[in-house]
Order: sequence, then structure tokens, then C-alpha cells
Amino acid sequence: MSSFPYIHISCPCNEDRPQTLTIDSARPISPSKSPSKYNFNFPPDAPGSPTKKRTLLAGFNPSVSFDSGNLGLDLDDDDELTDEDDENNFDPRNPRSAFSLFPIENLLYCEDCHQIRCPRCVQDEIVCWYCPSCLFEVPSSTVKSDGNRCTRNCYLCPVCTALLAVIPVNPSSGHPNAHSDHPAGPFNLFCSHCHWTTSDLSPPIQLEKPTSISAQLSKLTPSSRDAEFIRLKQHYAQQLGNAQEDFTNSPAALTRLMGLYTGLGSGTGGHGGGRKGRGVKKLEMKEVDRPREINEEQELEIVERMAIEGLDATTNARQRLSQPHEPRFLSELTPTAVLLRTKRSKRCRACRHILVKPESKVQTTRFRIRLVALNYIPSLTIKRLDSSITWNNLVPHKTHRFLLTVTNPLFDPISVSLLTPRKTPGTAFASKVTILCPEFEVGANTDVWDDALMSTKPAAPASSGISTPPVAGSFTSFSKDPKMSTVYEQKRNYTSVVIEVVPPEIPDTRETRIRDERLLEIPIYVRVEFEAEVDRDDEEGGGGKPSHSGASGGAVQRERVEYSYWCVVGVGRVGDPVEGVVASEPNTPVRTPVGTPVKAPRTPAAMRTPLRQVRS
Amino acid sequence: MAPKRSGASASSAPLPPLSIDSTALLSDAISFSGTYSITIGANSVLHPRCKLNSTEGPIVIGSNCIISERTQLIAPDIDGLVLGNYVHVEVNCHIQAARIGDATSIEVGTKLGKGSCIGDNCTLSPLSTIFDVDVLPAYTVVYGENHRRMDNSATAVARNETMLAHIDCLKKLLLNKAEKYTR
Repeated sequence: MSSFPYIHISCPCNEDRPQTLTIDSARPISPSKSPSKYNFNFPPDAPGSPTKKRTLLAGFNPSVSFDSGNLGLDLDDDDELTDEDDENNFDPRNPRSAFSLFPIENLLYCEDCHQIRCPRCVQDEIVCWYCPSCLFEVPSSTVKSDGNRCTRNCYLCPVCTALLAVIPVNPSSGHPNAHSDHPAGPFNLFCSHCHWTTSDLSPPIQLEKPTSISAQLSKLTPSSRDAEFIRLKQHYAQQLGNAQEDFTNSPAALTRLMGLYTGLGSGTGGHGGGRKGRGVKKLEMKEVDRPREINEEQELEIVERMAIEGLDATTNARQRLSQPHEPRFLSELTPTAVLLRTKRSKRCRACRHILVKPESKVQTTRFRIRLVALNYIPSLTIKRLDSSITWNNLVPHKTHRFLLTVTNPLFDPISVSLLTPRKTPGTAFASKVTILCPEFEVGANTDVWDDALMSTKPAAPASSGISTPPVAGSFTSFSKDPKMSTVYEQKRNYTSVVIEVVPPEIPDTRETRIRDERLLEIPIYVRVEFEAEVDRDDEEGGGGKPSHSGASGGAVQRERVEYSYWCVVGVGRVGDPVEGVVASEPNTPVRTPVGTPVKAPRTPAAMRTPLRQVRS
Repeated sequence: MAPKRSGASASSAPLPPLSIDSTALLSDAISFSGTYSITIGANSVLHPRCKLNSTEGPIVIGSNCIISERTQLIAPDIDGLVLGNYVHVEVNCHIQAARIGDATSIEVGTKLGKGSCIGDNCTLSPLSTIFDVDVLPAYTVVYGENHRRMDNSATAVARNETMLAHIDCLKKLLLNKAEKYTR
């Protein structure tokens, strides 16, 4: 378990929805097939200012559409309203959601899909192979023929995995100049960390030259495994050669493959009778049907040797498994060549655009393209408002106050709504959660010196916590109490609000169940709205939008953009109940509606705003 | 700038009795404390800001040793702390051993427990810990998570040579302030 607190963001790939939707979301979508019905909130914009949705988590819809998998249907009946309170909310304890939760640092962002992309929804492509020790690039053809290890002089110590150095066996004493110029005699590979040398092997390996170690070692350590591998390779190459014509496009290839698996390597041809009608019975694929032999005498020898040399002379599991011949004794370990590494570029699986592209040169660590989510979506951090709170031991029934900070990486000021279920979902022991100011503005990520240099500061909308009061039905019930709904702190590009958590008494279930009931995770729905300049692609690709071409030439086009995503805040673990702290309401007067708005709004179809671009 | 006595503690308290070989190199700002004698052998190098504490017992450093900065040598008891020849103590070690053998290399951040005894030609890899009153036989290598193995590499002679080269280099680089402590 990670240490508290942590904040994980749910990638939209959690939703099981057709990818076409994400592809289309890049351009303005015609109202008829707009995904906007999945958005929980519809700011009742004035007719002149419609909103373009870029909903990161488009599936903020009633559970029924999750299940049906048919996103176009079943959305406009009211009977689910009764239980949707629970089902709409993102449940961090749902086993499915665990796969899509990532720290923001691990997430990428596709500029074309306007979507978060997690490691599950990107595609890796290898840019180059290189040895991390000598930093030489290895062509991929060499990797295919010679394997994925450095074929030059890089070897690792089999005992401690440090890099081996080449030293002369007999250090010539007295003449430092002589032996630095022309080191003589046989050479050892020497580990400067644990002082293992190749002389420690039972037939000691000594190299004649200090260069081209791989070639020398492969001569000096002929292993039976290599011979075995060559035999296998020959066998399968032969099989493949026989079947070459079949592998092109014939259905027989499938039958052969099936024969390979159903025959379990016996390859006797007893099965596959279905093809007897054919004139030529083709050779089926055969496994090499020789089981691994265990020679009893050899094993007894090993046991005896263990008895003599003791356990100290044997290898541990990691050492054994890292070597192809699985040596039992330390004296049988051979130096392992350094594994190659790759530089990879990453593509969005939906639109095939490249999200990450490193420089192909091995020596540079720069990236040509790197679209990390940290630069696109506002990030949350949480800290304790009261330093007496211990993350691992939250007191039941006590009101814990945390400071939730939203940091804006964008160059436009954003307005943020944080929504959370009033009670944490997915558990029988729900904690009460209250965000004291769920709607606020976060300033633009401008240059640090901009504020100082500007003579007149732009009017900060900080004083009123709710600067863009939504009028949508689900938000009308927000308390307008000014004391309650003010932000805690507002600086250049971040804003902090207070979140109150009252955990209940929870029995410790770690012993009996896999699930830790005491783990307190709060799902928070983050919705971000801002005005951005229209990017060129959007403008050109817009087929379904109402035309406004008259004024597109001069003024800078701006449009309202909306993002939303779920994140999960791991606040801590609830501890044992403490005497004296009894069940009570939070210290602050509870405003019941704060938690409630996480409910799919039932917007009548007439209210749905046609997506249009705005000029400002 | 007015010459300052080494370290804050040394400036106020009197130095312990020192017997420093004339070929040893002592840098500036070495902190000596305690009352028992401290002996430093020939050709040894003490980096700046290493600390030698002889409150409990004497400290003897052999010849051709290197003591790096921020390393503490603390005599554990009345029998004192004895370092052999060619001992290399790296940065940030905390040493309360009773004896450290010849040609032993003690790498960065190692802790040697009180009264522990390190044999000749040992190597302690970075951040290893030796418990109190532990005895390491000669040619032991401590690596990884307190794994131990015997060093059969026969590189001791070569390592001593590198030590000498290292000391030669340090003597060119570091300023010798030995007379400051012997006054």
C-alpha cells in the first residue's frame, strides 16, 4: 500500500465505451450525436455562450448505461433515479476501478482526443535498443539475431549484479607505467563491489585479451544449454520451413497450430482425423518431445557436494534464476551480459497520435514530444490542516480537516467544481465528507514575475468563493453562506479549500478479508471550465457546428472548454476508536447539499445546448 | 582571516595529546576531542571535517591510511580504536570499532558497532552496518543486505598500490595543516 496521502486519477479507459466516441470528441460534435448527455451538468449558458465539452470522463452517466454497453439507449427514464445516488459515483473500491487509477505523474494527455491517457491506453513503440552500460545503440536486427544482451564488453557480477571490470591476473609490480600501457598476461573479470572474480569459478575463467570479452567468454563457457537451444532452434526452423507456404493465408495453418496445442507435443498425428479426406496429409507442427531429464546420479552428486561445501557455497534463488543454466553452486555462476534497454515512443491507441517521443540518440535524455497530463489537467494535492492528524490512524467520529489544493498548469484561469459523494461509496462504513467550498477559481499559470511587473492586477475573483455560480438544477441547493464557502487560500495558480472528513468506527478487517475496510479513500469528481483559444484543428474540422464564418478572420476565437475527471484521494486509515470522541456531527454546521450533487442530472433534451463556438 | 582553531569544540577545549608522524597530512578543520592520546602514522591523510573522539580511549591510526570527511572515529573503550595500515575510511562513516585490520576498505556511510573487530583486507560496501562486538575475519566482503563472502580475488597488493597513488594525489591537492595541531 502506498503511503498516505495519495491522489490517483481515474483514466477514462475505465469506462467501457467505444473508442469512436473519443476520436470524435476532438472536433465539435453535432448536437444529434453529442456525448453531452453523459455530462452531469449543463451550465445553462446564455444562448450566446454555449459550451464545448471536452469531458474527460464522458461516462458520468447512470449505471444502466454502463451495463448495457449501449450508450445511446436507456438514458431518459426516471426510474433509476432512486438508486442512482450510489451507482453514479465512482467507487474506488470497485475491483475494476483499481486498474484505471494512476498518480498524475504516470498519466499522459492526448491533445487530439482531449483525453487523459494511462499506461493501459497508450501503445509503446521501440525507438532504439541500447546497452545501459556502454551506451552503444544496438540495431534491432542484431537484437533479433544475437539476443537482448550487450554483445560488447559489458558484464555483470553474477553474485551482486554490479558491473565487472577487467583486471590483469598478475598485477605487475614496480613499474606503474609499464602495466598501464600494456597490461600483460591473462585477465580476470573483477567485481569492484563484492570482489568476485572469474577466478572464483571452479574451472577459473581467464581471458587472454582485455577486449572483445563476449567472443572470448562464449568460447570459454560452452554450456549444454546453448547446445540445447541451438537444437531447438533448428527443430522449429525446420518446422517453420515445412509449413512456410501454409502460414501465408491458408486455414490449414490454424489447424496445424491447434494440432500443436491439442497434441501436447506428442505429435503422433493420431488427432486431426478431420482432414483425412485430403489427398496429401501435411506434416503437423511438432513440439520437441523430449522432456527435461533428471539424472539421479547427478542429483545425488549435487546433494553430496552440498553436504561437503555447505549452504554458503550454493546460490540463492535470484542468482539461480538470472542464469540460463540455473547453477546450484556459486562456483558455477558465469558473468551475465548486461541486458539491453529500449527507448520507446508512446502512441494514443485511439487516434494514433504520438504522445511521447524521445530523442533517438542514446546519449541524450531529451524528448521531442512529451505530453504529460501534469501540463494539461489541474492537479490536486492534499495536506493536513491540523498537524495532530496522523495519516495512518484517523480517529473515528472526529472531524478531520484537510486542505485540498488545486494547481492549474494552464495559461488560462480555470473555474473548478469539486464534487464528492456525501458518504464514501462502496463500503458499509461510509465516512462523511464535506468540501467546504466546492466551486472556486484557480488563476492562470502565468509567469511568476507577471504579477509583480504588472502595474494593475487583474481583478481577482478570489473574494467570493463562488465566482461562477451555476444555476443548473443540481447545484441550486448549494449553501450561499459566505463564511462556509470561501476558499482557504488563493495564490497565483493554485487555490486551496478545506475538506472535512468524519470517519465512522470501522472494525479492523485486515486479518479476515482481503479488502481493508479501514482504508479511507474519497472519490472526488473534478470539473474544470475555462475559456481557451480555439485551436486550428477544431475550427477546420467543425462540420456540425452552426456557422459563424463571418467574423472568423479578425478577433481571437475563444471558447469555453470543459474537462472533468474522477480522482481518488487516499486520506489514510481509520484507527481504533478513541475514548471521549463520540459520534457527533461535524464541528461546522453541516450543509447537507454539499455532498449530494453527484447525481446525474436529468436534463430535458430541450435544455441541451447546441455546441457552438463563442467569440469573445 | 584570523586562523581559527579546528572545529568549534576544539577551539574551547584543549586538544588531546597528539603524536602525528611528520609525513602525515592533516587538513584544516579536523575535530579532535577527548583526553586520551591520538596517534597518526606515516603518510596518512585526514580530510577536512573528520572527527576523532578519544574520550573513552586512545586512537591509533596506522600508516598510509585515508580518513574521509564527516567520518567519526570514536574509541569505544579504554583499549581504544586501532586502525591498521592502508585503511581507507570513506565519507560519513561512524566508527566505534575496536580494531580495523590492514588494507581494509570501509566505504561510504558504513556504521561499525561498538567494539566490533574488522580483520585484514576486508571490504565493507556502502551503507553496510556491523553490529556491536561483531568480528569479521580477514578477507571478508560485506555487500548487499549484509551478505558476506570471502574475497579470493588476490587484489590486495594492487589495491595497496592504488592507495599509495591516491595518497600521493591527495597530498598534492590538500593543504597540510598538521603543524596547527601540533603546536
